[in-house]
Amino acid sequence: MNCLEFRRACQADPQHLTAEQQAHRAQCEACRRFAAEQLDFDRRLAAAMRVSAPEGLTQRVIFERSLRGRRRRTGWLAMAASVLVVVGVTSVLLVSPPGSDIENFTAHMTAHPVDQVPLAEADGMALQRVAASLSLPAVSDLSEIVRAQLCVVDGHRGAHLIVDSGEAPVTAFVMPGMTAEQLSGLAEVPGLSSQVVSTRDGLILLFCPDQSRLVELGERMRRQLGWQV
Amino acid sequence: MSSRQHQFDAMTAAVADDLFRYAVWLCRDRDLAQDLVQETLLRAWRFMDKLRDSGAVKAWLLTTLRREHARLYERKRLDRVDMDMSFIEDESGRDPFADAERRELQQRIAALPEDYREPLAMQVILGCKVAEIAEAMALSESAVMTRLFRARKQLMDGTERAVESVQ
Repeated sequence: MNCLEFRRACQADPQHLTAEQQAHRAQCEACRRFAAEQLDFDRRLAAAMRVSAPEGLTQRVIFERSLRGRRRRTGWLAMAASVLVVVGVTSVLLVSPPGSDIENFTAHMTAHPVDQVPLAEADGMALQRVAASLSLPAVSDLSEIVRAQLCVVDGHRGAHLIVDSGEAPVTAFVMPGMTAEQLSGLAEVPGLSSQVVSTRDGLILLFCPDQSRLVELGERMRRQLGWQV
Repeated sequence: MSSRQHQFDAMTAAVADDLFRYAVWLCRDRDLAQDLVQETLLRAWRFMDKLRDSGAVKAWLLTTLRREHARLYERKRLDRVDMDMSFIEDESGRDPFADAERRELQQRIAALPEDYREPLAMQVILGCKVAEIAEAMALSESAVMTRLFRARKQLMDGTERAVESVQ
């Protein structure tokens, strides 16, 4: 092997020299210096090419994976159930599939962002209608509730509330009759903390970037609703 | 959670960031790169049962991402020539000279023809060997070596000219 051959190979792939190339490097001082320069440049190249990856990329992919699987399963079960059972004039009762995930609540939040949930005050009766539809007592006593709408998440009917906690708004789902066993797993979503209050009467799920408010708020909502632990 | 889900989540955690870095040098657009990586990994989810051998996973992900990238250009007829350096975020450290040097090198890498830039990204970011690059790009190994040599030479010559002009 001559120096030209060595330098072409070394410059193309300085990290993986063959035995023959290593032997030439050992014998040739000029090529040894050349190889050292290539390795040094390779380090700078690697540092330059290692641009920052977006925060939460892995979590978003995993989250999306879980949504796609669940949408397929839920869609099939919902179709089958709707063929079997139709209740009422304006609503279809869905047989709720087992294992509702918290991931579905975050998907619901994504589909219904804060500013698209009807204002509790502006609509006047929005909060009262929600409470009445779900037979919820006294939820309207929570004056910090600024937005409210009925929701159906994974076959469970409940209230989707936005609570003004002073800083970041808290999204609360009040799900009468839903049990902790019907929730499976807790998907981490970057930037969002969650709290589940499990009672004999149903579940309260809270989401907010600020974890510190959730425990106190969840307990206060439970007491206001009169739900038993 | 099923073992299939565990396997997918572990694979995603291991490869997502580097796949993104490769994709961003391929398409020079961070948003597009995110879409490519997400679509590639979600396709891998569908085939997880078949992707048992870790070596096969890497090659499969690379091929799928490249195919998605090519398909994107066919669909959207994106301009391959236009170069916008905003895809490289400002990562200023403590040494402004090192930052300037890195930035200069990044601009040169971005300016490389795609035929040189892509194998270089595979090698440097994904740690692909020449044989793996050749298979992914459907080239001979000697063709890959030539492209890598020319890419590095072009970058080093440009760096030396930049240093000389300062001195």
